Amino acid sequence: MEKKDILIVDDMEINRAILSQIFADRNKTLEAENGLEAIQILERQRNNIAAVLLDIVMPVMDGFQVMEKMAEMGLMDKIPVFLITANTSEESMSRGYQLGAMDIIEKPIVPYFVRRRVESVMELFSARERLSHVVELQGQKLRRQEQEIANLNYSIIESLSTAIEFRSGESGEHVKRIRHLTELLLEELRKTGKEEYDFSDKEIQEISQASILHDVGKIAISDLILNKPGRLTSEEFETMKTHTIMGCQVLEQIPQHKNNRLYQYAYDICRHHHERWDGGGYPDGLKGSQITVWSQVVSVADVFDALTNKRVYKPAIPAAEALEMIFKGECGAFNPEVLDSLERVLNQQKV
Amino acid sequence: MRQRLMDAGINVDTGISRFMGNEGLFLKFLGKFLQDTNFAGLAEAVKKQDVEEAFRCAHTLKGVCGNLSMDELYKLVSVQTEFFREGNIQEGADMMEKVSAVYGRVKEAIEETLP
Repeated sequence: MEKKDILIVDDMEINRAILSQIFADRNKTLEAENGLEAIQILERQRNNIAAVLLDIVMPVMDGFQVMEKMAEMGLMDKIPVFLITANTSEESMSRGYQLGAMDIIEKPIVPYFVRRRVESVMELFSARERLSHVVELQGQKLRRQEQEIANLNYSIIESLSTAIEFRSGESGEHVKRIRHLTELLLEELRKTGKEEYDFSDKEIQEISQASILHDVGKIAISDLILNKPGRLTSEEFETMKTHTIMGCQVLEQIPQHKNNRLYQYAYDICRHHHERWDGGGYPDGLKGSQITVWSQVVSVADVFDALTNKRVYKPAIPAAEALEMIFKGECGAFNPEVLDSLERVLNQQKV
Repeated sequence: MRQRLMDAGINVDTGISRFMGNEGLFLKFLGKFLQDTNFAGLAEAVKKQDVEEAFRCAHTLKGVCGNLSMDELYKLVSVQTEFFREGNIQEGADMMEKVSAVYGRVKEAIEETLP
């Protein structure tokens, strides 16, 4: 609904009557005898008032005080204020403008001018309000579309990762479990309060989403090796190890996303999710904190999930037993803090 | 009637047009001007040498007689208001005689013309 009311504030009835008469045919006018009354009316009817015509010299609360109070109420940029005054000294005019008056109109009043000046500013304010409403709606629409695109992107990433899982005879649940466990581990690590684990919710989301791409390089590994039921020969194992670097090569095919955080996490995770805390991993033999926290976390999540689920070469192992094996160092070397958080996550039975 | 008011320095035409052509409203407020206490307040403040109160009354009176197109009175009171604004009670007070005379003429003219 468009605001139409005009609030007239003047201690003299005659001045109010003249101003009221000017707008009577198009607007509803409200009258206040002093600043305090004006503020009370504004408190009740701020949403209907399209302009305030304000005398300066008044008892109880003067026009300047009214503008200060309106500024406190956050109204000065919503409702245009016109000072109507017989006092056109430079000092009081500049004070009026400083406090945010849109215009200063001299007494004695010339009705035609007052009407033109007040109406054009009211029109300006209502146009601005309409526009900002339109901008707000468009902003909401853009945010919605942005979310849709992000969701679509994510679905594509998930489909790709799942397709690769299928090749290894997995159900596709592996990537979803890795994502979930990565998220839980990062949240648990954050609770330690340590600076290196101080991830925002958004970062945790991005890393968790990126985690599902960790094995994307397996697309380049032959079925014979990937699905071999028995132990790999050392030559086959060397080939298998290249899935880390191959993953990065796959991701490099999408260069326009290199500035994207999710892409950067995924790239790092692909390459380094088989590094070991003691430096004995591959492909780069990184050691300790040379390995990013996200790659450390995905590495633990991947091993734990591989242990607790059936693979072509092994049966599923119960969680408690898997945890024990990991802690004993039978499945690699990991950051003890990440292992502690795994234990805490398992104790909370979130997995 | 119009002439009587004009003779007292009241510009009836601009006054009526200020009330958007509503002659009745203009006359109503001319009548109310007689009850307005700002002139009396001004005279009292000048007598007491209270420059702040004199300014407040003169300023309000200026606004009202301006809006009622009492051109002669408006011009005088405008000058007087500026003296009081500067804190110059003496020069403001010196104008009181002239202001009173014009105020008296306006008052008489209104009393004679309005029922």
